[in-house]
Amino acid sequence: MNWTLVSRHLTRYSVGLAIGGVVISILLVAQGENLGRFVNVVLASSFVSTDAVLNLARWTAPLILSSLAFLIGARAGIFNTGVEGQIIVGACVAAIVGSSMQLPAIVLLPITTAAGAAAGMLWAYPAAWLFRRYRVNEVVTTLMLNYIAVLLCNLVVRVFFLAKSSEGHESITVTSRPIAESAAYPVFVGSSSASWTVLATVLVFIAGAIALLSTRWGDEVTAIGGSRKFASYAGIDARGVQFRVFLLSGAIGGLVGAFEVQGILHQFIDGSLTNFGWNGILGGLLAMNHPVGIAASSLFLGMIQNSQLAIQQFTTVSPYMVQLIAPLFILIFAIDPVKKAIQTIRGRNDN
Amino acid sequence: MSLADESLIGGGGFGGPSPVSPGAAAVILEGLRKSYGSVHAVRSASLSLQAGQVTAIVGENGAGKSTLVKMLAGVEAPDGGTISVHGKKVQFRSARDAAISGIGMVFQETALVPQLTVWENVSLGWETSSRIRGIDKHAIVDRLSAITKEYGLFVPAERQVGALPVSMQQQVEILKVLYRDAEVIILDEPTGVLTPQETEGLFKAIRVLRDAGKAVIFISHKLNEVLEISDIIYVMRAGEVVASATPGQLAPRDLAQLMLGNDLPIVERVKPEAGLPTVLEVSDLVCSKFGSAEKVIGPINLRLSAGSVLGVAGVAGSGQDEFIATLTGLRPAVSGRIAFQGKHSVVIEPGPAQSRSVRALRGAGMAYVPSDRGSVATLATRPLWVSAIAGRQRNPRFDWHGFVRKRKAREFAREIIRDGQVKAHSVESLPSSLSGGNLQKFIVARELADNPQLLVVEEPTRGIDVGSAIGIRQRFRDLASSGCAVVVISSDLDELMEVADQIVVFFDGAIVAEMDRNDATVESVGAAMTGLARMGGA
Repeated sequence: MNWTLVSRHLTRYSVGLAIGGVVISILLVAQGENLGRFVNVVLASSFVSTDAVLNLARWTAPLILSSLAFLIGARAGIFNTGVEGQIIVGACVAAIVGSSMQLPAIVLLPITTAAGAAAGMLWAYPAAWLFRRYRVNEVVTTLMLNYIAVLLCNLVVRVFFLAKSSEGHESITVTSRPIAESAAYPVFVGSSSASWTVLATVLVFIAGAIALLSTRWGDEVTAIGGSRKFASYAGIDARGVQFRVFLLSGAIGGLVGAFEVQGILHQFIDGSLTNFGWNGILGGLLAMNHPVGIAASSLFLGMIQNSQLAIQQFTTVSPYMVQLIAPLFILIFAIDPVKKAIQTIRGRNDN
Repeated sequence: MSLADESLIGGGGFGGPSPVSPGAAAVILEGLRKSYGSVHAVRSASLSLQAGQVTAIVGENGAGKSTLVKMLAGVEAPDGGTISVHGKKVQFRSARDAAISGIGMVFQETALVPQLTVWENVSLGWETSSRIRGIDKHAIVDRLSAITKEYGLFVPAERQVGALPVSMQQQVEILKVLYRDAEVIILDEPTGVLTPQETEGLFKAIRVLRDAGKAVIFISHKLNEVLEISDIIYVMRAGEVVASATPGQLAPRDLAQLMLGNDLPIVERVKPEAGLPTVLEVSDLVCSKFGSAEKVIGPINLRLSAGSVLGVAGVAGSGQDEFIATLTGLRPAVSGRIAFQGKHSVVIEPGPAQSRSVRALRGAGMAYVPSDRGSVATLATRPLWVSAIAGRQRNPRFDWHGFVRKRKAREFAREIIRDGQVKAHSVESLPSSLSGGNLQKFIVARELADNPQLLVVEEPTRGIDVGSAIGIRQRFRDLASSGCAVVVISSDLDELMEVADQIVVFFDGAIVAEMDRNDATVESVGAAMTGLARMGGA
């Protein structure tokens, strides 16, 4: 463990959080809100009861995974802005597979999940291939694939898999047929929406963190992200590893979609997955590229999402304000003067 | 020398050469100080610059030369001390301030806009313009040609800078300084990028400037150049000016001793035994040029036996870099083959899969010290121990079923630091926190750790002080005497003469000369580098 580095990061976080807290407080007070009550509402919605905690877990889990999807790419020097699209395609395919087959849970559950992950991977494939072969900027390709993902999934669901009411009327919104019961992960307790996908998410996250931090593969990925030339010099197949990491990033994105469908939604609903991918990028950036940081940043973002409804109900704060919080923190963490100020405060001088 | 001598130089005004009384101090620096955090880059430096003289400043890396002249040029603000120009104390807030006071600096890396023409570059920021007609090109070009004529520089005003050779670009930099009426011209390591012939050309220009009454500051690592061109030499050590001397009194070794503060060892060489087996055989190797699939390098034919050192010379961009990238497995060959007889034999033939070539070559005992220490040889963003196992990450010593054996890696990093006498805080330090010389020692020690059969080294001592440089060269010679074959690519011809047994010269994508060390001279190698002498039937 490099304690100097750890303490440096901690300082940076605390200073960033303090600045962010002050800015948000100013914004809240300007809207005429009582700070104490606001904090109370936010904390209560996530921590006041077992259900509240489970709801927090429900919102944190997909953020952990989508942050991991982004972060694995980012560690290898790939800025995958397509997590959003990969989630949607994963959800769509999981909904289709889960609703098209009648099999026992032991078979259908993993097949549906795997189909979602595979779909996410496939959706990342064109961008990954172009990146590997021609070094086409991945930000552009993945971003554009997001739009195609939304529209294509809507089209496919509307034409082939549209939900029908019991009277046989087709749904007016783009909503797919519900998945088989044997394809759904059960919830922990009936009063909360947290399902067994939360546990699966934790396992995937731990595996990912260990892989990134302790394995040769993880070191190779980080080396490529740090300097491709260094990686090649050390005999690492930089292009190949990047390509596979790109696909893995897509697969994890697809997994988020599959888990959402299998654990919560039980069908594909247009618009219900909006911003999951973007929040994952926020989470990854807030975590400053460190896997362990994901747990913290996802909890933070999850808490905000979880309290959104309560904030609208019990405070005078505009719902847009809530969405502002996370990007605001990113901005603060990204600002160089803050970094520099912290460095000066610490009197850092390695040279 | 008297620092009190503050008489003004002749009141001839700026621009043209004015008759100057010798001994008049144009600029006096007194007690200048600068620290970065806890590091005292310059402690207390005092010196005076005479008009019509070339003043050299020498010193090891980190002795404070660059910081000192940067303060003079207004690039860095001093923490204390004074600068007086013509007896008047000045304070520069920017390089522009300094330029207005007649002090101009030619930087190590040229700061030109390649897309613009010479006259545009020279006048950038100092344009003669009027509100109605915009930039007055005629006035600028006229003034430029007056300056070039006066100082005997030959720079075409209308040419695009990016299309000019490096030596010409440097002249544009000098022109830029002259255009701003500089009386003090600072040249920071100007010969690093030049061939011997081009260096001669630069010296001619410097002499003209000197004779025209300019005060020239010359900073260089190359001591024989310093002795050739300067009128007075200041030696800096640990942020202080420790000695001054005139060239007549000194030999390069004396100067080096002054810089180091102790005796300078010489590289000892043992002549390689004859009849040792061939380690490396390159036959009809053709590789493609960087950034272009059509242009090719080669065909290259080489044979290197164990225990000998091959020096590779060439002006930047002559094909030696592509050759090395192919030799080390980083770039696929177009045709031909490379056969390496190390711990086992490896043959590199055209095809993709570079990472496999790199691993195969390393596995057979090839070691490689690249010229880019910060982003190729080490990983700047991770602790030193990560860079320590670079290329060895699959070695069972550091790999346990796919998991990194971090404790072993740290242990190994400590071994390297100890064996290479690297000054590093700990194995957790970032490579960027090491000085250039220490980082290179670290890289060399790492590459030599497994007793390589073939060592490829690029620019082993670029930017490294004399003391460490000799230590590094000595390691290569020692390695050769223990039977390793060494390939050294260097733009420093003196270095090649010091370590190599044979020298090959690249020019325009081919080997144009191949000579034995004993037959080669700096002049003959230099001539081959510029294509003046094609030898070996090319």
